[in-house]
Amino acid sequence: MNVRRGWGIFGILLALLFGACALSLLAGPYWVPISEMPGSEIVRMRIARILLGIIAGAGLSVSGVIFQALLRNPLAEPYVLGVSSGAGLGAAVAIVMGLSGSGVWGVPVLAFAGALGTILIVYALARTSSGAVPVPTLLLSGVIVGAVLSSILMFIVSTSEAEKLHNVMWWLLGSLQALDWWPLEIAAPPVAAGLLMAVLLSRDLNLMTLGEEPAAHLGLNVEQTKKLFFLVASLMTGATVAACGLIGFVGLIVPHIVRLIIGPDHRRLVPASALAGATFLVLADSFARSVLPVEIPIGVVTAFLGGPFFLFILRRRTSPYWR
Amino acid sequence: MIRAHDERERCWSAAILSVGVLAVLSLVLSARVAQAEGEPARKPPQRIVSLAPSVTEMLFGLGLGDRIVGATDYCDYPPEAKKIPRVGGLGRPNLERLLSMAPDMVIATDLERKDLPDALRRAGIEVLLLKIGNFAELFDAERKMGEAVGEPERAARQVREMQAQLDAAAKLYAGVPRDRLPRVFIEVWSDPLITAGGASFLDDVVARAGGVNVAHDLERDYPTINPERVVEWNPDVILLCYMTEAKDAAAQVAGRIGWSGIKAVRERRVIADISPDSLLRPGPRLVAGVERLAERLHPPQAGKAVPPAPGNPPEK
Repeated sequence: MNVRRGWGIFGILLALLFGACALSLLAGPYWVPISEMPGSEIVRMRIARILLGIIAGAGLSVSGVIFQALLRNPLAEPYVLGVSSGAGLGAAVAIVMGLSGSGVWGVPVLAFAGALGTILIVYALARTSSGAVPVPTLLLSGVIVGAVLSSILMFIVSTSEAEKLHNVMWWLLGSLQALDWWPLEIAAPPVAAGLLMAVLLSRDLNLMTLGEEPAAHLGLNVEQTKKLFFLVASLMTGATVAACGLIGFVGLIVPHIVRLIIGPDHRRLVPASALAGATFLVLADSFARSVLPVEIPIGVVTAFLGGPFFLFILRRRTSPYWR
Repeated sequence: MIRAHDERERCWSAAILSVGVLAVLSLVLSARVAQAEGEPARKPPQRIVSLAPSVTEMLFGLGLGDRIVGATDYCDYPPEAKKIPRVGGLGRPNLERLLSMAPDMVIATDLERKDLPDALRRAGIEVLLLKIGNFAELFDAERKMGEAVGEPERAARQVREMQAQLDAAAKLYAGVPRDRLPRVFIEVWSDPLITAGGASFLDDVVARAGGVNVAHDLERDYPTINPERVVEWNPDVILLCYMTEAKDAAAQVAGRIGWSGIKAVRERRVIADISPDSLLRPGPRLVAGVERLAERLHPPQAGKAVPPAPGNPPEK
């Protein structure tokens, strides 16, 4: 299939992304005629959301690709190592302490700190005395640390006041609602840097998927690569989470769908996932903000639309997909 | 023979016993039903547990503060209310603590568990569930409460006073035609953006203060909305009504993406300094909130004869 080898797929993906952005400019509770679009405040707001969707979608998808390559596990996703619980806990603490609501940076900064702190703890826990970090131990400690942190999060949620609860719940489901530019400002640099890094080092990701021993035999410094990519992927995840809350499912299904279509070569998988993730999130947000008079949390939409689509693609395969 | 006789006697005594038990049971049950259905002909309650800050304020307003034996974590007004033992959150009491207070009446506005009233009634505690969604219901609740606690006259007077204060507020905008009343966007929270829809008490508060809630047509209490709507509504006034402290909120509103063109922002009519308790908490203080808001919506110098600012977008 020429789709799997040629670079034409990127043309298609770019066209899809532009199409999604154009659609998103039109989507919303009000119809803005194209002639009135320049200078329209409503369009300015939509552009902010589109940009945030592109950044978050690309960031989550690419960190999903990285986690799946490093952990060699199809269920790996940006939140697998307890990152979501850590970030959620940070945000909940900030919300309950009353740091949100006035555009101060309390919630994103604490969410970001929670995400990175969790990764560091998990990594330190999984580290053996010889300095190696075995993948199964890493996964296990990630899941357990995540469970402990979620229990603390649920403790806070269950004992907090009703109005703050709404805030926390909304945050846990994610939203691209941008009243200010700061979510873009905090998310864009880490995501751009991480994307660049993943593209430049995509060969190393290819080697990592072979397994740690073969990769080492082929001359890769496995532990260093792992450390670097964990840091990069966690930074990307933390930044996205800080900007728009926990948007689930994107980092899990977008890399899988792209892999099913163009194959597992990371030199193509990384940029293609970034484009596809951006398209998906922009579309999901258009949906979330225009179907009902109230806004739907985007995490609801990503799972609702993404899940069936992923299953459809998966069922169309005849050969086993993940080795 | 003796054995047979014994047998028969046992049968009889068992029958008599079960009939007796049945009779007693049905008596108790019917008494219960009668008690539940009949008019409360009992003496006024002496030990009241309040499950909402508004209820606590209303009870104090009736001069019955000393009869409250339990209140929620949020009952902080009047100051004496802080000394009342706590029973839990708004509408979510700790049941054991509640029972240990040995109340004869529980008054609530909203309950997390809808089966609570039945459980409490089974335990012999009277439950008064008040629905307070607007001023009409507030007055109704006040009267009902007065009836239930044996202070109907005081409650009626309280209602008259509140009504008088509302009428006084209404004088501030008496001559303004309806289509010239300021259109108000109520912001209850900013992240996500939450407003107060037509089903909220705030909608009525704004209406009584001589404003028109732009989100009135959203038939919910606190809907999460797309900020685009606010730009499209283009309200004359933005009322910030956060339930928790929010610093520099008014300045932050002005700096939002796409909000600089909104009339309220251009004319700096972002109201952030009215205490949320006097706007959000149904009770005697609410009318004071209405008065303050009415003064802000209809400042005396901007008299009724002032023409609208030039370049106004046409009202919908």
